[in-house]
Amino acid sequence: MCMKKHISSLFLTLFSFFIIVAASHAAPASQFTLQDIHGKTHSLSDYKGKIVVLEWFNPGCPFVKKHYLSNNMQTLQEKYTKLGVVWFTVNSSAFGRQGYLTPEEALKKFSDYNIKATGALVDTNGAVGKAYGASTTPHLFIVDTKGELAYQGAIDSDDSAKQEAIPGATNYVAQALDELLAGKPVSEPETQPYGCSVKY
Amino acid sequence: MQLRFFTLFLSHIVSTIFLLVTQYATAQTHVTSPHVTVDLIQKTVGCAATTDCTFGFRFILDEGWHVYWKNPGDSGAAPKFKFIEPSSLSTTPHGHDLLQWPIPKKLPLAHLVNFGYEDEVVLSFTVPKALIAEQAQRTQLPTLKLYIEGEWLVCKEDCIPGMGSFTLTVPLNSTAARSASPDAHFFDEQHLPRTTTSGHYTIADQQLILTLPSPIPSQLELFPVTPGLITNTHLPSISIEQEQTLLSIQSKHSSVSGPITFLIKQNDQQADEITFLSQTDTTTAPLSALTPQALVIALASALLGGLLLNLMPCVFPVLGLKVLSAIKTIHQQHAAKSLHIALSFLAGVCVSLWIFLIIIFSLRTTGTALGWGFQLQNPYMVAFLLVLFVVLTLNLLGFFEIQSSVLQSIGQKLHSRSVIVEHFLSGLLTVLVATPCTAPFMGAALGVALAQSMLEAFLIFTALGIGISLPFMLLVTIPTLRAILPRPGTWMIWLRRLLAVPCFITACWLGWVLWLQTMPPSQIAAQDSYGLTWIPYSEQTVATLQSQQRTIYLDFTAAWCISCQVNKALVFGDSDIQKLIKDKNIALVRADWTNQDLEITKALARYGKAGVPLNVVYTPKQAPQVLPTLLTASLVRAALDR
Repeated sequence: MCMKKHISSLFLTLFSFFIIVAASHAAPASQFTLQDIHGKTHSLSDYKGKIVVLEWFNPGCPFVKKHYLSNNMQTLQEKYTKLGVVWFTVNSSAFGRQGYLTPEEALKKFSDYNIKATGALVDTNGAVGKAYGASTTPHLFIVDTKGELAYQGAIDSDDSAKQEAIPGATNYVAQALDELLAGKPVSEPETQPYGCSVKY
Repeated sequence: MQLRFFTLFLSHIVSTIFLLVTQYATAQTHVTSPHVTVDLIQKTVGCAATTDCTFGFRFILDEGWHVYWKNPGDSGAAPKFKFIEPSSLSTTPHGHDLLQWPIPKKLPLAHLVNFGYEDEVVLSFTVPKALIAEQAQRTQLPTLKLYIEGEWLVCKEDCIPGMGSFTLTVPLNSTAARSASPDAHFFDEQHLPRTTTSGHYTIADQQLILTLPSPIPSQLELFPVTPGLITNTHLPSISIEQEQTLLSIQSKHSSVSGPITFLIKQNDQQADEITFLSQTDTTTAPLSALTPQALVIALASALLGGLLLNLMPCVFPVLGLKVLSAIKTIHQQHAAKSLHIALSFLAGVCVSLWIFLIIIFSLRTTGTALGWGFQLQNPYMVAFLLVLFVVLTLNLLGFFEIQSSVLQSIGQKLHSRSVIVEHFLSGLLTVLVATPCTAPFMGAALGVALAQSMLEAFLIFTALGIGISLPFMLLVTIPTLRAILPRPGTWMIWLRRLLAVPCFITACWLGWVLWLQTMPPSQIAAQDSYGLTWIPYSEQTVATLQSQQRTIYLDFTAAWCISCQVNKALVFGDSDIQKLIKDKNIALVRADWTNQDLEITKALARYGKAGVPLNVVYTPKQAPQVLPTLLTASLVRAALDR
């Protein structure tokens, strides 16, 4: 009788070991630590339990301009940061490449564009951009409250550079944020981003 | 008569002049925007309500600037055209369904890649005759009027959007519809891809495998029409199996549904745009990818493989032990119990195989590629098996009492329910102790099984389980066979000692694996027992060697993989191969998968493999060639000499 118990517990231990191996493979969003344009340091881990939006930004890109000159991006930033979402713009333009901003220029653009994001992160060496696979400006990523990547892709469904295209398009970011805030799974977790290339 | 003819002629001239005047009065066919000019051009001078009529947008770009293909790649945006007149010309908002896209180029940019056109390109479109007739009837005019709004993005380092409206009115005249316009040659200079729908695709272990029915040249470029499926900078690996060409490339998703389209470019003039159907979409039966005959063959080989496993050094002693215990049970109890014993053992074997299958499939849905053999990548698991085999060896040699041994509780006198539980558990144990021997076998079986649906994999694994259990089941259930079995006696002790030998060999081998696993990598000799020097694998190393135009032999291996060791003995023990490697200065790169290694697991997946062995030959300017699982010296020689 005792032997039987031994064998049973042996197998239970073994198979639970396999299952632990199996469960430990969930992929969280890449961790990062970056300075913002004021010199303040932000880590993804600082915002555990919050929804974090990362928006790849280049002030010279016509597609970024499309969403800022129409006030579309600022409206989204304002609406969702008020609901507790943390929103960062990220500039991955390398030093000397198009879109690179000196600290003074970055501060000026932030106020000129009337950006309503929580902060503007500087990723001059492109490490965070590459870790996330950011390829365009704009390219948006949403990290959910569990620290997992819940959305990646375009801001909306119309890749036109014209501002008139905005009202008719489906805004994937707003859709994903609304779903996350309502505790629902994101219906479209990945879309094809559009815009200028990130100037790594 | 003559007068009537003259009047007719005159009226014809007048109407033609009128048409030309109205055409030029309303025409807007040339738009200039920064770094590009766009012209709406005609293939023929006029159109007719009886034939389709072709037009095109001709882009002329400044040097270094580009516009995009319909899938722009990692960034950018394809040109868009809104066809306002004729209104029902295009069914998609950007007119992409209507436009003919010539063969694009890859435009690399840092670690990203775009698809597009430099210098000059014509995106053509055809107005069907039905629409021409419909418009003429509606307007009561012998003309075709086009009104199109365009938007495009031109990029070099910066991107600049351009836009403009195009209007053009062409006469409806059957003679004019047949005469080529001065711009006609621009259309002929475009190289359009051929379009076919004949491929199939499947995704296994994060690897997208495209099956083409016909052979293709090894030098090709892959352009995804369906965006977001693959990493655009990755290159596919090509292999030819049973007259089919297989292209495999790392997939971004663990599953995709519906048809997907790729452009396969051979050169600037030749390309095929192929729509691939999911293998599960092609048939309605749940047994999808394999034809019934192929499935029967797969099941039969799994059954045979299971039978053969009974003879493997690590399984044979365990089964021998089982037979001995069963003889006791049957002789001591009623023979009627034998069916219960057989079935509970079968259940134990199958359930443990299913558990492995479920683990691997559930990991696949979370996006983790795990090959068969993953159990042996963990040193603790190897240590556990080592202890198990040492205990088993000692037990077989009679070093400790049968009654006190955990393993020997199999065959104890127990009441009937316990007998079932005991034999079920011993079935589980058999699969577990068999893992060191099954890993190389299972690698191949799993490769087949995992490429199929869960149901097929389940059937294949069940066939394997039946194969493993069959000899034991037959022995205990068939009365005539049972009668052959001798009565318990002292001969059993001698048999047990004999069985200890393969058990001990397995234990030694596990010890060697554990020793390699726990040793720091730096201490593993770069020179192997064949006197060859190997470079440790990294993606960067392979890329560097490729850029040096060297032939590369890439070996994915693991200490616990027996077929890997057999391959090495057959190939690198061959003096001709050794000479060839020296003469051609072939770079030998080894990816050692003895321990878990994410980079190697990913690399294996890129070649469509779930485990080792995998051998790949890179020759300059040719697509990498994946060698078969089991190698021969002549086969490797041919690949290296290619």
